[in-house]
Amino acid sequence: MAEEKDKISAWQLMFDDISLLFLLGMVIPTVLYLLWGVMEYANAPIATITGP
Amino acid sequence: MSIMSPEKYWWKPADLQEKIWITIAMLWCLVLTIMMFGWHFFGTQNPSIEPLKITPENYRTVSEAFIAKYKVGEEAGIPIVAPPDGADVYLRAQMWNWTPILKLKKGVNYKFHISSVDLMHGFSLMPIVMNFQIVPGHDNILNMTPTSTGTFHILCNEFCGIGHHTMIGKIIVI
Amino acid sequence: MSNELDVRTCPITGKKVFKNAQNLIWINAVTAVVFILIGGIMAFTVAMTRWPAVHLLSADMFYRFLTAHGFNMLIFWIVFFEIAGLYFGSAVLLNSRLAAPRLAWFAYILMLVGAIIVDIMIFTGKATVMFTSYVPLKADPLYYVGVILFAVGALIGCAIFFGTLAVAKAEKTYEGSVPLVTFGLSAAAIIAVWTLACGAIIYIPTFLWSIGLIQNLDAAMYRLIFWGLGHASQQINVTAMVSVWYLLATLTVGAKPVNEKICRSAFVLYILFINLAPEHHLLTDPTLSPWHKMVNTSYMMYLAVLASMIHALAIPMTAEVAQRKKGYTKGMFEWLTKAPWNEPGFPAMIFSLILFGFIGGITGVTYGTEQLSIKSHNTWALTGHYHGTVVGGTTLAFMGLTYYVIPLIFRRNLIGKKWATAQVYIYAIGITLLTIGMGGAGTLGSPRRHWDVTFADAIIPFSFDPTVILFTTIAAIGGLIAVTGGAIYVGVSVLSVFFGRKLAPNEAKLL
Ligand code: HEM
Ligand SMILES: [Cu+2]
Ligand SMILES: [Cu+2]
Repeated sequence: MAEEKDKISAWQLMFDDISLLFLLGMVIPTVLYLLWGVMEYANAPIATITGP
Repeated sequence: MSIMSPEKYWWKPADLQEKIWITIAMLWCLVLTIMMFGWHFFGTQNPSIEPLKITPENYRTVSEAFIAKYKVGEEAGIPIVAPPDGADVYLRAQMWNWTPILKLKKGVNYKFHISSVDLMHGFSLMPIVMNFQIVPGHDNILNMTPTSTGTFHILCNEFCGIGHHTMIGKIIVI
Repeated sequence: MSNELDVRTCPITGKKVFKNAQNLIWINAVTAVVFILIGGIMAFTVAMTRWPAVHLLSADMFYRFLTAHGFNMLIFWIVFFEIAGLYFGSAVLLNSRLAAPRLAWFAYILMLVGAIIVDIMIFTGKATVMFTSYVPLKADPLYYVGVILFAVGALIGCAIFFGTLAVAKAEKTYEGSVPLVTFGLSAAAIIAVWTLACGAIIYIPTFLWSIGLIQNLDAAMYRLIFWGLGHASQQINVTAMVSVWYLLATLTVGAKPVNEKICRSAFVLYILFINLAPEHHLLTDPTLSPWHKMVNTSYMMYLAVLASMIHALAIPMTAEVAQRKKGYTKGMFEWLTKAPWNEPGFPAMIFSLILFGFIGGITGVTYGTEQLSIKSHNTWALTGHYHGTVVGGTTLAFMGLTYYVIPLIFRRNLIGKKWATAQVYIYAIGITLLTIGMGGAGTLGSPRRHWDVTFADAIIPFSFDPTVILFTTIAAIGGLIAVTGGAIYVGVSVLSVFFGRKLAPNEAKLL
């Protein structure tokens, strides 16, 4: 069994591992899109001007 | 069959045709990416993002002061304002008009501050069709230079309640 | 009542079909069709109102029905159908029982109750907020409750899909890797989990805000997170649709993926990068930095676009290889001309591919750049864009699939195969005209979500170039044709499901 697994490409094994893909599929958009975006909105300066 | 499990070892090299297609597609993606960044940094028609939040109350105060200072007339109950060259221009979106009507000069750069004091609105400049999302609480800052004279209209293209389709503003360029 | 764990062997595919999975697929798919019926009626009224020559509804009703159209079509029709698809892709394709069928029924009830609450709120005028419900536009709190119930139900549905994958693996109901269609649907389910999580993140505070527990919600931040739901759900649709293309290619011409590695890699690219795409809704928004916009809108260097390009090659290729094996080898295109054009599945797949790729995809990638977003944001061209992707692409693929699910899973003979086939052509022609009309009018500035493009009661007089009205008319005529096609779809599928001849257990009849 262990020997057989060796012959299967590591990529194939990785693609069969749904939980790994799941994890990556959650982390990438959460960091790049959500967290980064929320940070930008949260950190934007607030205007204090009162006239033109 | 794509509904059956594949053979045991399916990680196999691609055919020549597939390789060619994928290479072309990848190059094209690369071109698109370079263009996207290139256009932003070297193009001249980008939203000039300056992050700035402004409370609707504060924005109302500022835009009222702006109108009071440069008002030159009125049309359909909406003030007409002619700001001096290069001034900061405040264009307020509200249910359901764009206040004020602006009188601008061709070839002069103005710094627009567009925001809303109630709901989301959509700035849509006609007839050249330029659109921006106007979000209450945020100042959409845009550097604009009119390049031709005439009358321009501003539609609202974000749903903002029952009067949404009546919401029209005007910019006169002389 | 028969035992929930009853099994039959499908005489066509040799798959084991468990009763519990079959029932759940049935109920979710039938419910989906009910919602496309509601959404379709709304489509008719909305399209007829936008057409100045008819101007059917009052402004109040128009905005109400437009909200209903968006919600019933984009969310209820599509998601119910996708849940049915997920159960099919896991249980049926893997010869497995469905994990936790009781929970699956519970999920179904949550979704149904949520959908009914949302529809009641919309139709009684308490939630005329469009399906986007941008704050600070406020709907009745119950509306948000309905949305949350629906999303929780859908999330449980995804969990059951993953649970079934685990059950099948543990019980060794298949050997080696899962089939490509199941793999594609797994990608869709992963994308769905992120999507629904965004939904929870945004709708729970919005609900609290609607009952007054939270005072201020940042409207721009709402848009950011909302589109994590609103757009990412479109990516579920894309991924599920591509899986359905592979499935249809197999069901119609017996196609086999030419290279599993290539096809699966493309799905993995979707999993990794496609959920950055919601960004393109925010390109003309204030405050958000250009870097955030460029990195995300480009899906990290267009890698998700690359994936679509790969599928665009792989799918016709699988069909061509299968056809050539059958002996259709004359010249470049005999494989295509001798394809089963007189059955609903093949044209549905091809038209879905063309509408999605050429109308939806190309407009999508171009509008998703900063400069062209300025030109197209919130115009009717946008509406045209996604009537190419989700209406021409996903919906048409799902329609085509339905005609095969009826004999395969529901074991009923399809009534009116000719109608079913004609429907695909009619609908595709209608959507083509609809999207051309919307795209043309929108490019000239016609706004979306707009009751009166003649601006009869505007405060400052304004009128469009007459070309806009011409394009609007094209859209309306296309809309009428598409609605006709949609009505035939509902008719054929409902008649077949309830009144089609029951197929004998060993009757290997597909269409
Ligand atoms: C059957 C033919 C269909 C026709 C004739 C049709 C027509 C229309 C029209 C005229 C609009 C209004 C655009 C506006 O005023 O901004 C619209 C909006 C929309 N449609 Fe359709 N549609 C059809 C099918 C579908 C389907 C199948 C879906 C989804 C799967 C869909 C999703 C939407 C969405 C999400 C909107 C936007 C609503 C909004 O702006 O909030 N449509 N459609
Ligand atoms: Cu408005
Ligand atoms: Cu509006």
